[in-house]
Amino acid sequence: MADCEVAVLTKTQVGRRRFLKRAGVGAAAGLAMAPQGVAQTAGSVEPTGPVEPGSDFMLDVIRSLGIEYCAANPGSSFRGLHESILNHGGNQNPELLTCLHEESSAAMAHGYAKIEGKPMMIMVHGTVGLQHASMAIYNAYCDRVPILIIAGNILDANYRRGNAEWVHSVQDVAAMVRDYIKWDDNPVSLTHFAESAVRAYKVSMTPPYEPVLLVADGKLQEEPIGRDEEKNLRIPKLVMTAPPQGDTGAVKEAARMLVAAENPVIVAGRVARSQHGIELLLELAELLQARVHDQRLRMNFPTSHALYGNPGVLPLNPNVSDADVLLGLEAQDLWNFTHKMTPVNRFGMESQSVMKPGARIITVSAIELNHKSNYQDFGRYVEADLAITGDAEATLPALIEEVKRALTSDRRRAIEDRGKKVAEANEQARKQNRELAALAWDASPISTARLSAEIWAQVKNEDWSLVSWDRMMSSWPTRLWNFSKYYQFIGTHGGSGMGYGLPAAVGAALANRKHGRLTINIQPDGDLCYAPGVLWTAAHHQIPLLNIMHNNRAYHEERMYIALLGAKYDRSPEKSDIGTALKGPNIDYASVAKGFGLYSEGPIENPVDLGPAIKRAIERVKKGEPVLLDVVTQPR
Amino acid sequence: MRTILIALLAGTASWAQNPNAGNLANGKKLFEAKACYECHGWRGQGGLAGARLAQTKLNLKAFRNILRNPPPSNMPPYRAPVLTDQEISDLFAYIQSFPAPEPSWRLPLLKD
Repeated sequence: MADCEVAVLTKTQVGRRRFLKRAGVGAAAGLAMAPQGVAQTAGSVEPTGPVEPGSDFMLDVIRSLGIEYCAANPGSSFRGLHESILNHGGNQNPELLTCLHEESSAAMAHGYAKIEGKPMMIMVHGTVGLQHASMAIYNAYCDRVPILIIAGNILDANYRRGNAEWVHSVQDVAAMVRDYIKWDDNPVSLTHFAESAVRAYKVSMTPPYEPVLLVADGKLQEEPIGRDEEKNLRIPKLVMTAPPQGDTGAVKEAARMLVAAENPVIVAGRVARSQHGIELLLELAELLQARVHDQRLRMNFPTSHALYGNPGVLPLNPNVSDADVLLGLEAQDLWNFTHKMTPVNRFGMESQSVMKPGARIITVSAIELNHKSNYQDFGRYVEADLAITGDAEATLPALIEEVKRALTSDRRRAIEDRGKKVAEANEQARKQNRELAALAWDASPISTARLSAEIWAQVKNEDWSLVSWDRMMSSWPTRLWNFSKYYQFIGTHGGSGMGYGLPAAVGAALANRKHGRLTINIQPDGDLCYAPGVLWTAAHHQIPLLNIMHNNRAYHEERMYIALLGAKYDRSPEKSDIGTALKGPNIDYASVAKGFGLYSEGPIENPVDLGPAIKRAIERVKKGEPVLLDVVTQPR
Repeated sequence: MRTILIALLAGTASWAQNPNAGNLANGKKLFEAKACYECHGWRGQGGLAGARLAQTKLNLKAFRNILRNPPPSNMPPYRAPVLTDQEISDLFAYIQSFPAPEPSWRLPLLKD
């Protein structure tokens, strides 16, 4: 993610608001434009016209946080804010994005934040809307991504005008998602809302980043601002928290262990939030000549670098058994790196370490600052020899300096020899990747290697951004493409909640739009079917995005599990397509996309047709359109 | 373990009678019906979910041994009730029919 630039509202900008001109407003983040609504000049007399609704002030608070977009499916419990965005805010900063499902809103915000490095706002009904959004919020939570969730609600029973408002009201809005957000509040006054909104932003953007929720009470939104209340309204000053860094002594000890190691190996999870983060990890790896296993949960390390450690294997489970010191940086499920289970014990509890005797583990992570109890995303307990609580990207500069101090000339020579061996192994793996990619080159369904190679050939000279996960296609883009910039890969869903892919891609493409990047989404078919309406959102808001279907016509992961379990008990896997295959009829994704207003082609089944179709599609995307190519593919 | 041994012994006897009698057409049907392609790909190209089968260097005996007693992985054991020795021979015949790929250096898109 890019670092969030924090700007400060000028007095002139703030002074245009009637109630704010008296308010002694402090600082706020990232607001580039002044409000567009009817604004009074400083020094004006008391107004005689209609007073303003509370939602106008709420919007000013939100605008002060530099929120660019608000994704929402319309809901009456936040209609006040909706109206204020349009008429008080001029539908800019934030601009309203029309979504057809709240899950799309949250997943769009998820994808957007991983490119832009700051939260998008979403608005949801306090009951049904939040219920719709909840899985996507969980994904963002597991993926350590900030989202500003505004939930409408009508707390005052006397203010509910009918059955719809009773069934859409709740005592404790955040209760249903509190296990997987970082912070929430239910403000009962506008002053309270302002303070909590600024706090929410700050909490969300302090590593580990996470979603936060603020309730916008209906009465607070829709009732006019009281004359007395108006005098006291102000937006609190926002100062971003410096990311937590690891303890100085512990960092020094980590450097000593790494420099003394014969074969240190780095596992990178969600390390880099920016290009700077990639450069820091690169510097550390090169200093140590240490292999880096990137879990591909963020774009952490250049894939073509000689020290890139897993060019041909599953990124989540590389072989680290040769390490004598393992450094986990914001790693996810590190225990699974250091242990294996036998096939029998896959269904049991037994496991064994794959680390060699005496090997030591160092962890650096901020996630330990935000462990919750109920959901188990924290993974199995890691028996680290040195555990450093702190944000990895923020801790890397100190670790690099300590490594430099600890490096003697003898160690430098040993490290240089080690690096040559890693580079040789890396080159061999890359050569093997190309040979493996040639298998099934002319096959139909089209091989995922061929699909990846065809796309790469046409995007490699563009300023491109792949915003989809590639494990479901045997990680061929990771194995064949040259990733080097932080926005060229954004990892995965976090919580393995399907339905993330398409809306997250639309959100990421929206963030890429102003930078003129070519955004590519290799879209699994099953994932698209959860909430395909976000295709219309992309078309409606003219978000350029190249969607290329990885249409293998099944939920293959689940189908493989059914086959596996059946065979274990001597049952034939022949029925494993029941409940898992998406055939009979085949889904016509080109027609689906066309129906939502996109240019589309497909189904493409002959690999020879793929290149020209991609070329035509890119031409449309460069004109500012989302497009979809339906490509029928091999399972993985 | 006892079940596996019985299956292995039975399999050995069956294979000894027809060591090369793999039916390619039936192997093709089995490759789909038994969902082999799910992990190994329609051309046996393999991937991160399953090993490469195309251009295998295994002989039939080694292939059958792997099916009966797979190494630690997500590959389950396929015992006689799921795949007979004859069916394994048929599958092996089909796997051997996968065409050899072009060398990667002759494919413009795969040039380094």
